[in-house]
Amino acid sequence: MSSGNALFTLIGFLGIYTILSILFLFLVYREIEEGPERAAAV
Amino acid sequence: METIWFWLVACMLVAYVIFDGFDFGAGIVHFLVARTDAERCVVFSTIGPVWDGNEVWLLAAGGTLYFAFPALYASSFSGFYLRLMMVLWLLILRGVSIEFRNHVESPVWHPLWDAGFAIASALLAIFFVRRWATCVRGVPLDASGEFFLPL
Repeated sequence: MSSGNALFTLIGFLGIYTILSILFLFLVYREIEEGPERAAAV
Repeated sequence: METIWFWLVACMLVAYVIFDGFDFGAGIVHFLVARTDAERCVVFSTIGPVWDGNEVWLLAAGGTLYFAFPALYASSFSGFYLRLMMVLWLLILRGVSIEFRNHVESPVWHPLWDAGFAIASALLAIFFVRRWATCVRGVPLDASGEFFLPL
């Protein structure tokens, strides 16, 4: 195993978690936009 | 004692292959067997309650290797480093696809995650078979008991 491999996987994880955090913010924003009314009605 | 641990790890891996193989299969064929969104939901609900539980067999086997056969663990996890990372990323993609799919109602969102689920399942099956084949064929261990295989 070389340091290049470790760097490659580190960058890979950074990429994955960056995408996932953007998706998370997108979904949370949508949920906030919807507001509590719908949940209260159910 | 070693024999007992060997059988425990072996049984965990066999359980993983059988149970998660079912999930991979569902992922691979769900584009073929389910044409409408409602049918896809049926496929998802067959594996929905069990897929993450099935994955635990793999974690349990890896964890047991760590304390039962540390030399094997160290050697194989270093030697298969890139392949294992690829498997890990695909497992993340599969889990994320299943979890995110039903959060947004849109004609783009569902096929996107369905594709992620299918691709991750297919590649996982291929990677696991390939790795198993490599193990059966044997790995080039050096004098210090280490090896490294590229992707």
